[in-house]
Amino acid sequence: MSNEQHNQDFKASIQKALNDQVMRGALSRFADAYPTARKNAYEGVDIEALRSEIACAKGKNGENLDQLIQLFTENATKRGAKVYFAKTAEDANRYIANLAIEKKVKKIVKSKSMASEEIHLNDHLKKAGLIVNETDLGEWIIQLAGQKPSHMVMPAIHLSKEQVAGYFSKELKSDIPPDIPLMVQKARVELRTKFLEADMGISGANFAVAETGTIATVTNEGNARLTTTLPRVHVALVGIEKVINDFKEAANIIKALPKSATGQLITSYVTMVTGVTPTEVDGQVQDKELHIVLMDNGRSDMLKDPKFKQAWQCIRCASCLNVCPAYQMVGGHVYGHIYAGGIGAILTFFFNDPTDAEKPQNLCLGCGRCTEVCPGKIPIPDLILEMRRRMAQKKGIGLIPKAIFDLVANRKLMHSLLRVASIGQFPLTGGKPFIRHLPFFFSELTKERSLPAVAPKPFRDIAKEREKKNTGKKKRVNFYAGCLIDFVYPHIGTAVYDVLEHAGCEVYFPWEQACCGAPAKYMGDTDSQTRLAKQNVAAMEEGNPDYIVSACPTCTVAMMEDVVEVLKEDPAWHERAKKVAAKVRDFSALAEELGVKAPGKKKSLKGKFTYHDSCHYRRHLHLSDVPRKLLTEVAGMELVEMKDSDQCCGMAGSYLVKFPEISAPILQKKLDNIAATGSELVCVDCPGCVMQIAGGLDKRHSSVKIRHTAEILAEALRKG
Amino acid sequence: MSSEKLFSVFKEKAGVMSAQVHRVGTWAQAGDLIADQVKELKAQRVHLFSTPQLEKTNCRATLAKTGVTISDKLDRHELDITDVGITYVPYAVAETGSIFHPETDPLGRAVTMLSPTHIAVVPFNKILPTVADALETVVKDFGAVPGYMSFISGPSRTADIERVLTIGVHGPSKLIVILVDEGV
Ligand code: SF4
Ligand code: SF4
Repeated sequence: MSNEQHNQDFKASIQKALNDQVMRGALSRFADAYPTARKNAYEGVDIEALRSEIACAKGKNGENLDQLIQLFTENATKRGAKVYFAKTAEDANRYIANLAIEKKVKKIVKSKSMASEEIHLNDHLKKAGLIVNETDLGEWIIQLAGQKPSHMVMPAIHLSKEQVAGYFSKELKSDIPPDIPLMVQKARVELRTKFLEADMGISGANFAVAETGTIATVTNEGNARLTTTLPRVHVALVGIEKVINDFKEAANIIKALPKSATGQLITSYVTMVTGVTPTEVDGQVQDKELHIVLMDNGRSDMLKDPKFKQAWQCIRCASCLNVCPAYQMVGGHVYGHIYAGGIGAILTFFFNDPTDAEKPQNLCLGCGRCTEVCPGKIPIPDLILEMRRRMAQKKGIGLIPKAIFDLVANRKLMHSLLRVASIGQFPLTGGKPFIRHLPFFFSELTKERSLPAVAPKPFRDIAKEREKKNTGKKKRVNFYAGCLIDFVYPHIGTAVYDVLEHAGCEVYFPWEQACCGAPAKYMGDTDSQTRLAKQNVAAMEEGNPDYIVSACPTCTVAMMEDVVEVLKEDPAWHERAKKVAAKVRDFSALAEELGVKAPGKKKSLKGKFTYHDSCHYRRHLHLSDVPRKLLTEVAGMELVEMKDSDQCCGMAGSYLVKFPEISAPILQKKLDNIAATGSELVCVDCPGCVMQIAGGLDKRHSSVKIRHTAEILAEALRKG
Repeated sequence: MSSEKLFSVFKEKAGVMSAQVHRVGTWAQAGDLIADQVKELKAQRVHLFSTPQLEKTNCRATLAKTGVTISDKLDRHELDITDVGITYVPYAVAETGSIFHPETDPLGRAVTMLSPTHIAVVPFNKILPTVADALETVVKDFGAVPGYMSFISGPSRTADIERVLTIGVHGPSKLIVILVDEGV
């Protein structure tokens, strides 16, 4: 398939998902209920300690994998199980199909196993002439519908009861009404017969315990118990990442998995099978056969990778999907292979085919919400970036982005171009502060949102004027403006100067500063990123400042972390970068450090306001509490929290260019949550979020104003 | 944790998982309660998986009085048509409101899986604080890891269609736990 064709197919699958009201309704209902359910389920549990224990134990399991597999094999074998190591998907498929034939199996029941979906086991068994029935209700529905699961834990979450009734009516050859309890009963009766008659049961495993040779399933329906109890042959297909050390680790997984997956205290059943147990066939009790297929299929490659080995810590709870803003919009089917969401793209990259992960990985906004909840503490967005970087290295990043990065790296050219743009745009904006209709290829971007105009005078010009007053005697702060403040929102820069000067600093604008490199990073263009990092480090050393401040969290992270990371191969530059990074503060953090207190006069300010947590700000800089404190200290400012204040606004760097169709509904949700607070003011600490949210508010003709924290503080200081 | 405290946590959590919890003083009272429950359920056919502890409840006799059929044959097809399965379960777990059932006999397991209602009789002094404790205790008590063990928490459930919680998909739609104060 050509790349263009590939792209079009991918875009079409996204459009289809976005138009699927049933799926979007179900996903958004679940997403709404999930955080509270999860919180309640974890009540009384030290969740951070539990996450650390799991992440650490799973990490160690990865390091000792060979021994663990050996120990598991020994112990399971001692208890009468046959353990087969399948290097590839084909090995696993072949082994199971041959076994079925050898044991004269005709009918097979299966309980849910993502590993079996991963290798298309059902197709292989069917080709071998076997009758296979899924027995997990969701999986059975998916099987009847001839589809793929759209969620690791809730495979049929995208289907309506009417659709399910349709599939049931066809299968059972009678008219089944869309009545959920009735359909569940029908399924019980239909599948019960299949359980009683099956010769072979195939299960997955949520974990496998090396010390005891035990395999375990964590389920709600009870189908896994029947699958592992009734048929005379039991096959467990287990990914090797599921092997853990002992019962203590098992207890932790049992503690976390159901709570994280669906917000349940525990699932109805947790079943542990150790070796061969008897079964009853035709009134006779006889020993059954147990075959455990330990499957690699790309897993050990993932483990050997110095970066991606962290994904080993995954326990497949899917809580990363449950909180993912992108997944909530598009569901699981657009992620290419079987595994969905950010972690899905990573697993697909290793278990299936890197090219299958290529498009879906782009869906990640990099917001980091998933990492916050992940029981395995996996830095999913960082791994996605790493994947993107490797893909870019292999295939290049495309001509247009390359040209743009060359442009942003060329400070002078970029600035003169933007100046031209600021003059040229006036016919388009009609003198208004927003571009309402863009006549060129960005048209889709303006559907839900107005784009801001380029400021007539960039901040660098304003800064030069102000610096004339500096004496060189006070604390020196170098301001890193970043593109948005420099060219679109210079008034935020002015506010930053006002507040810091009030706090006894003199602020400078190092003229040589360029783009922070984040856009290049998010596209995987390490060359451009490195070039920009050097340029900025050199620029920020100017005048040996006490602090370097930025009022854009993306820039702050770039200057605080990325410059150090990207220059680490070059000792001299690495040292310089570390020195610079140590002085970098985000605006609000510095304001707090300097003891800024903006009194404001009673009633002089807006009254009720709400606060939006920008992704980098909250998850990289961990600053959520600081602006809330600074802002509520201003007299007359009363905070009304919005729902999901920490959910991404949909801006996410170039996301709104890549996926305007997903970014738009994410923004709409944010705007609804803001509106629901009834406040006339929303505060943020990120100019990117200002751009996204202001554009959305403008398009809605909303009277709600959006302000950067610096602006409010500056205003309060002026009035106070 | 005191046993009363363990009981109150168990009861609360089992309630969250939609299990019914009863507490009685003696094995004989457990037998009476089983008969009452079976009557209330209007069950026609029940199955008991015989163990010495379960026989102590004398529930065969109390059940006989209710006129219900106690099937004497124990196989999967017979179990498939019974209304109630009755078992002794040796442990419970407070933290999760679960009963913990180590059972290697396939019919002992099937009794807890196939009927629409499962009644479990559990000794009061075997409510253990956590899942980790249960796993540790069972290995000590049995001298080895039992071949098949289940934590059972409430009825069988699914939310696979439109996220609507529905009870009794493959396993029982009712779980009745009777805790007995009198020692084993
Ligand atoms: S990545 Fe983390 S949150 Fe996602 S499924 Fe794995 S363990 Fe769960
Ligand atoms: S970083 Fe955000 S968008 Fe990316 S996978 Fe995680 S939650 Fe989803």
